Amino acid sequence: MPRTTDRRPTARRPIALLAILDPGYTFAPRTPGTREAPRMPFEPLRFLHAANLRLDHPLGETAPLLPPVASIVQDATFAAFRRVIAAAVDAQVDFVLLAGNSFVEAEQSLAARLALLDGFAELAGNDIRVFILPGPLDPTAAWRQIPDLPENVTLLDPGQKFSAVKRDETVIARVGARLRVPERKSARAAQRELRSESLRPVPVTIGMAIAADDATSLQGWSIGQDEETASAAQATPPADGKTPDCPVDYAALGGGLARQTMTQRRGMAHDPGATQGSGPHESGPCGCTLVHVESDGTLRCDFVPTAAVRWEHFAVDFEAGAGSADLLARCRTLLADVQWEPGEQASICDWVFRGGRSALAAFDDDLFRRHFQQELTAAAAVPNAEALIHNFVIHASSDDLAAPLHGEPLASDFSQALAACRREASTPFAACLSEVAATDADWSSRLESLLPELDAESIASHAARQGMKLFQAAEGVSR
Amino acid sequence: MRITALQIERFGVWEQLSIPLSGRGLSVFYGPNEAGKTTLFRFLRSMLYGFDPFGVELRDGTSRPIRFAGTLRVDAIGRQFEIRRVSDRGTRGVVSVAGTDRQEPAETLLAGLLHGTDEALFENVFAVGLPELQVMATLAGDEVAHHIYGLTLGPTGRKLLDATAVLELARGTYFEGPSRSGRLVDLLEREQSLRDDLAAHPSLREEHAELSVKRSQIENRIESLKHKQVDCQRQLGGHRMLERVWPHWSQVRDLRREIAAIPTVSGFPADGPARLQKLETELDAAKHHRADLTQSLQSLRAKLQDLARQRKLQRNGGVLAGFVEQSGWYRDVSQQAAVAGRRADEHRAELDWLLEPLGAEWTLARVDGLDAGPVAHRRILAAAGRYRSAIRRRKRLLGLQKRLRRATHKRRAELDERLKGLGGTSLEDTIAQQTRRIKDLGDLGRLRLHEADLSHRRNRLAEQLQPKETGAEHPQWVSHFLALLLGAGLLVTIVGLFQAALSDVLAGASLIFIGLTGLGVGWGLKRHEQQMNGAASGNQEELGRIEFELREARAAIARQSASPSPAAVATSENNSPLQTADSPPSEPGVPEGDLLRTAVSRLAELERWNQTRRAIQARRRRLSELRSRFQAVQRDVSSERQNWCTLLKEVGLPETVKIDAALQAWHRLVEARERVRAVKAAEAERQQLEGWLHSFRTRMDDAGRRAGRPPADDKPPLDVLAEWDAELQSSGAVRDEYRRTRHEFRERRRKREQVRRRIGDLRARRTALFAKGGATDRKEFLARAAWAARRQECEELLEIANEELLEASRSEPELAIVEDDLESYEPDRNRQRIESLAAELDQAERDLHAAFEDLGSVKQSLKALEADRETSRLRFAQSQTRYELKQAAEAWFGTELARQAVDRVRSKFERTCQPATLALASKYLARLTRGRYVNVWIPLGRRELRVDDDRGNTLSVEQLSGGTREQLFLAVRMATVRELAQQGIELPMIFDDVLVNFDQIRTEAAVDALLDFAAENQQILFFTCHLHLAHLFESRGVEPTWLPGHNLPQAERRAG
Repeated sequence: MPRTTDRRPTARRPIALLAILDPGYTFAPRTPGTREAPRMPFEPLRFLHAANLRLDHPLGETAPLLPPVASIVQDATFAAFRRVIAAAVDAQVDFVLLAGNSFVEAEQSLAARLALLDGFAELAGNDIRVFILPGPLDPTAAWRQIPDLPENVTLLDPGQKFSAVKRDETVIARVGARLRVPERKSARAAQRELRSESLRPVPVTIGMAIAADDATSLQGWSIGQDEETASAAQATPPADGKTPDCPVDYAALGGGLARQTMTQRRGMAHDPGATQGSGPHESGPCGCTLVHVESDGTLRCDFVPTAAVRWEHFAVDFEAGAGSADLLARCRTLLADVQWEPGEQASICDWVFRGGRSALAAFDDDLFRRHFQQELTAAAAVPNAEALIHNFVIHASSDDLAAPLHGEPLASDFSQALAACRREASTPFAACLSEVAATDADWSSRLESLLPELDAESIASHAARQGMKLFQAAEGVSR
Repeated sequence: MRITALQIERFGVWEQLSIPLSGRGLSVFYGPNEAGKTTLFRFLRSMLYGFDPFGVELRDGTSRPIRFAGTLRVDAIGRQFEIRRVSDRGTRGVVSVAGTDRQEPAETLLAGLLHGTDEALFENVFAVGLPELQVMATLAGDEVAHHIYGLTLGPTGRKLLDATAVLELARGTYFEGPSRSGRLVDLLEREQSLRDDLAAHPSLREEHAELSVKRSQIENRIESLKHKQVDCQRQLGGHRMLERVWPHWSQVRDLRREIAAIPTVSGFPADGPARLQKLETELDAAKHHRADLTQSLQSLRAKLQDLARQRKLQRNGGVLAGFVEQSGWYRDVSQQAAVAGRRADEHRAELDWLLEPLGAEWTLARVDGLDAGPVAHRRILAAAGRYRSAIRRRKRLLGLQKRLRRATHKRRAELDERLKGLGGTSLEDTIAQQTRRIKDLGDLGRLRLHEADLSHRRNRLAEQLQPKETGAEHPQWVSHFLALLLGAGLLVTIVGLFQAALSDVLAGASLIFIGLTGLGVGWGLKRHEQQMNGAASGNQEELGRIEFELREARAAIARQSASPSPAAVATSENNSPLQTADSPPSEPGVPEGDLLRTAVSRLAELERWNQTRRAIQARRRRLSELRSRFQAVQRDVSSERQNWCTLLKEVGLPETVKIDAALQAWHRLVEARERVRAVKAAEAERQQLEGWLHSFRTRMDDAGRRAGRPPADDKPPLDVLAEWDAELQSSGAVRDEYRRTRHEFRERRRKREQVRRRIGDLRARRTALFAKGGATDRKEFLARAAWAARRQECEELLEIANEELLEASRSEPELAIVEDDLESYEPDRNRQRIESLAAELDQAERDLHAAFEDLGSVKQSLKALEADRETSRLRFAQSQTRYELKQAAEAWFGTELARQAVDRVRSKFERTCQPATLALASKYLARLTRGRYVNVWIPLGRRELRVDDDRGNTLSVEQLSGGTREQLFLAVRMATVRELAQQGIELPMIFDDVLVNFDQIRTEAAVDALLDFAAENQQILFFTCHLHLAHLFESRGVEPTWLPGHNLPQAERRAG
C-alpha cells in the first residue's frame, strides 16, 4: 500500500492517542474531529504484551517466610509466566510480545529456560507466534544459546528488518526492534496506492524497545507524532537521502519497573511493567497487557493480572499523640482501598510509619506488633489471608528527632548529638567497617557492597529509637 | 586552725628550737641542705598526728630510746591552744592540749582541732613534699578521691554510663570481632555458605544441554533403527512371499508338465471306475454273504452235532446222577486230605525250627533213631541234678570260707592296730599293769581323804585358838591419849586453882575424870586377855599332833603321785584309749576320781580286746575245718561231672558241662522226635485219603466217556459234577434247541444258493464294463480310468494352483515378483536369507529396545534435572539472607550512630558537669600554668584525670610533662583544701620544696598563686632550700625564716 510520510497522519488516523494510566482503558479517538478523515482500516487483531518476566529470579526484600508462603513466593515468577501463556491461549491472540528481561542470564537457571520452552511450545500448539526482545538481563547471546527454540519464536534484533505477521496470507502486523519504521515507498506511489486501494487494510507496525536503555529511541518515536514535529521532520529530509522513517503504531516497551503508557496523536507507547513484582519497589498489581487492534484503528489495552505475589507499600505519617486505634483506622482505610486481584496467592505489605516518639516506642513491643498485624490481616479482604505478610518499618522523622523533649535533657542532647553526627560525620560507619575488616576482609568488602542499598533514613531511625529507649520515659501509644 | 608558734624540745636534729610564726597566711622557711627543713616538716605532722615509731639512737656504740618532745601553739575557733606531745614507747607519743577547760582526753580535743581528718588526708593534701606531689596515687585515697572524683556519678552520669554499656552490648549482638560472633557474622557466614553451595552446584543448564543432545542422538539412533527394521521387514516379507508363492508357481508348472505327459483317453465311460467299483463292491458283498452263509451252515452243523451228543448224555443220566450225588462225599474227603497235608507241613516246619539250633548233623533219621524214652529222660535229669547239687555245695562252702576269712582278717587287722598302741607290751601284761594302777589310785584316794580330814581338824582347832590372838593389845596411842587427857586435866585444874577460876577448875576436873576412866577400862581389858590365854594352851598340843599327821599323809600322797606307771612310758598314740591310763597316778590338776574312772574304763577296753583275740583264734580253727570240707566236695563235683559227660555221650548229645544247655538240647531233641512221628502220621493219613479220591475220579472219567462227555483233563471233578448236574437238569431244553437249529440250517442252505446265482450275474456285468472302457481286464481298465481321472484332476489342480498363486501374489501388493526370481528360486537359500533377515530384525529390535532404555534413562535424568529446584531455593534463600543482612547492617549502623551520639552527649557532660573540686582545680591550674591548661576533668566512671589545654586538646596525666603534672596535682590539692575549708575543715598547708621543678615563669605564677591562696585566710608553711625561692617570696613581701645551717654548733641551733 503506497503511502507517504506526510499523508500518514491522515491515512493512519485510526490510532487513538489517549492518556492511559488506567489499565484496561479503552483507547478511543481523543476528539471526534480527528476521526472524520477517512480512516485507514487495520486488520483487527489481538496480541499480548508482557515484559520483565525474570523467570526464576528470587523475589527480594523479604524476611524468612513460613513454608507455604515461601513456596508461593519462590514459584511466583513461573506462576506469572504460566498465566501469561494461559491468557494468550484463552484470548486466542495472534502473537505474544516479550519485551526484555525474560530471564536472568547471570543466574544460569535451567528451570527458567525449561519454563520458557514449555510456554513457547504451548503457544506453538495454538499457532501463536512469539516475538522476543532481549533485555539487559537476557542478552541476545543468551537467547541464542537456547537449543531448539520453537519455530514460532522470533528473536528480534535492532539491526533486523521488521517481521511480518500473516493471517491467511495477509500481513496483519509488522514487528521489529525499533520504534521507527522506514517508509519504503515514495509519497507519490503511496498517493497512487491510496487512490486505488484506499480501503485496503494496512498492517499495524509494532516496535519493541527497552525503555531504560532506549530513551533516545523512545524520544525518536515521539518525534513526528505531533503535527508540528511531523512537519518539521518532513522539512528536514535525512542527509543520506533515504526515505525518512516514521514512528511505529505501537511501541512495546519493557524494562520499566511500573506499568505506564505514553500516547501521542498517532501512536502509543506502553510498558506493562513486570509480570511479577520482585519487591516493594514494584508494588501494586502486576501483569501483562492484552492489546486489541480494532479494524477502525482503535487500540485497547486490557490489563491481565498475572502476579501470584502482591507487593504493597504504604507510607503512613501520623501525628504525635495519635493512638493505635487512629493508626489502625488509617491503615485499614489504606488496605480497603487496595483492589486485590483474584489470582494473587500471597500478599506482602510493607508499612513505613513515620511519627512521634510515642508511636515509635509502641512498635518496639512484639506483642503490640503481632496484635497490629492481626488487626490488619483481619481488615484486609485478601483471598488468602494466611498468606498476608506485614512488614513494619518505623522511621522517625528528622524534625521529630531534632525537637527537644520536655523534661528529658539527655534525650534532647541525644537528639541534637544524633543530628550532629548525621550532619557532620562523613563516614559514620568507617569504624564499624574497619572493625569488620580487621576480623575478615571479605566480610568488610561484602558489607561495603551493601552500603549503597542501605536506607540512611532507616539507620537514623534505628539510632533514634535506640536513643529513645535509653533516655526517654516510655510513654507508648495509648492502647 | 592556725599555727602561731612551734617549740621543739627535741626532734631529730633539732633541740630546744622555738620558732614564732607570723600572723600572715604564708610563712617561708629557708635553709640549705641538711639544715633540718624536712625534720621540721615532719615535726609539724608528728605533732598533730603522732610520732613515727622510730626512736632509737646510737650513741657511744649502744642504742637507746630517743625522747621526742615539742609544743605547738595554735589558734582555733577564736582561742589559743597549746599542743604538747612527748614520745612514749609503744605509742605515737603522749599528747596534751592546754588552753581549754573541757574535761576530755587530749586526743579527743586534738581530733576536734583537726576536724576529724585522718593522717592520710593531711599527708596527701595538706602536708606534701615533692615525692607526694609527684605521685598520682596519693590522690587516689578514698577520702581524697571523694573530693576529687566524687564517689557518685549522679543519675545523669549513671544513665550515660548505662547507655554506653547498653549500646556496646547491642553493638556486640550484631558484631563481636574477637569472638567472631553476632548476628551479622551469622548472616555473613550463612550468605557465604549459600554462595559456596551455589558455586558448588553444577550448572544444570549445561548438563541439561548435554543430556538433551544425548537424547537427540538416541532418538536419531532409534529412528535409524526403525528404518532398518522396516527395510528388514520389507525384505523379509519379500522373501517370505517368494517362499509362499514359489510352491504354487512350482505346482502350476508341474501340473502343466504332467497334463502334457498323460495320454489322451477318449470314450471312456464317465463313471467307469465308480461303476467298476460298485460292481466289484456288490460282487465282494455277495461273496462275503456266501462265505458267511457257508460259515453259518458249518456252525449250525457243529451245533447240531453237539446237541446230538447232549441227547446221548440223557441216555446215561442215571450213572451220572449217581456221581453227582457223591459230590458231597468227594468234597469232605478232599478237605480231610488237605487238612492232613497242612498238618504234616506244620509239623515239618516245627521240626525244622527245633533242629536248626542243633546243627545240620541232626537229620530226621537220627532224630527218629534217638532214644528219648522215659528211662533215658530220667537218667539225664538225675545226673544233671547230682552234678548241679555238687556244684552248689562247693559254691556255698567257698562263699562261707571267703566270708569267714575276710572277717577274720579284718578283726585281726583292727586288733593289731590297737595293740600297736601298747608299745610292744603284751595285752596280758598291760591288763595286769592297769589292774595295779587301779589299786594304787584307790590307795591315793584314801590318803587324800585322810589328809582332808586332818586338815579339817587342824582348821577347827586353829579357829578355836584365833579369838585369843586377835584381841591381845589395844593401840599404844590410846594410852598416850588418855595420859595426855589426864595431864591436861591436871594442868587446867592447877591453873584454875592458881587463878581461882571455877570454870577452869571444873574443866580440868572433867578432863581428869575422862583420863582416869580411860586408863581404868584399858587395865580391865588387859586382865581379861591374860585369863583367856591360859585356857587355850591345851588345844595347842592337839593342833601340833594333827599337823604332824597331816605332813605324814601329804608325804605319802607325794610319793604315790610321783611314782610313774610303766604303761605310761609305753603309750605312744595320743588318741588311744590308753592315753589317760598311762599318766602318773596323780597328775597335777586332775582329780583322782576322774583318774580312777578313766583307769577302770581303760581296763574294760583291754578286756574287750582280749575277748576279740580269743574270737579270732576260734574263727581260724573254723576256717581250717571248712577247707577240709571243701576238698571233699570238690572231689564229689569231679565225679559227678564225669558221670554227666558219660551219660551225654551215651545219649548222643555233645559233651558239655553246661547243664542247662545240655538239658535244653535234650528237650529239643525229644520234641523233635515227637514232631517226626506226627509228620509221619499225617502223611500216611493224607496218602490214604488221596487214594480214595483218585479212585473216584477214575470212575467218574469212565462214566463221562461213556456218556459222551469230553475229557475233564485239569478241570476239578466237583466242577465237572456241577456241569453234569446242570446238564441233567436242562435235558428238555436241549431237545427243543436241536429241532430249531436243524430248521435254521436248512433255511440258510437255501439262501446260499441264491447268493451263488447273484455272483454270476455280477461278473457278467463287469465284463461288459471292461469292454465299454476299451480294456480287456480290470488292470487295463483301471489304468485307462486313472489316466482319464488324473488328467481331469490335474486340470482341476492347475486351476486351483493358479488361483492360489494369484492369491499369494495379491497378499503383498507392493511387492512384485518376476518370473526370473521364481526360476532362480532356491528354497534353502531363501530360507537362509529369511533367517538372516530375521536375525537382523531381532538385532534391530534389541538395539531398539536398548536405545529405548537409554532414552528412558536420559529422559529420567532430564526429568530429575528439570525437577531440581535446589538452585532456585538457594538463590531464594540467598536473597532472603541478603535482605536480613541489610536489615542487620542497618540496625548495626543505627546502633553505631546512636553510640556516637551518646559519646557526644557524654563528652559534653564530662566537660560541663564535673565536681566543684575539679572546677576549682581548673582555675588554679590555669593560674599556675599561665592559662596553658584550662580545664581539669575526669571521664565518666573512671578515676583518671584529663586536662584540656588552651587548644582544646585533651591530655591524660601520663601525657603531661613532669612539671605540668606537679602543677596539676598542686592545683588539685589547693582546690581540695579550698573545698574542705568551705566545709569548715581549716588546716595549715605545709609544702616542702614543691616548686623546684617549675620553670621560672610558672614558679613566679605559683608563688603568686600561693600568696593569693594564703590571702584567702589559708595558712601556708613553705619550706625551701632554694635561695631564689626565698628571695622571690621576700620580693613579694614575705620575710622568710632563715633556718640555721646544719653544721652549726648545737648551741647555736638551739638559739635559733
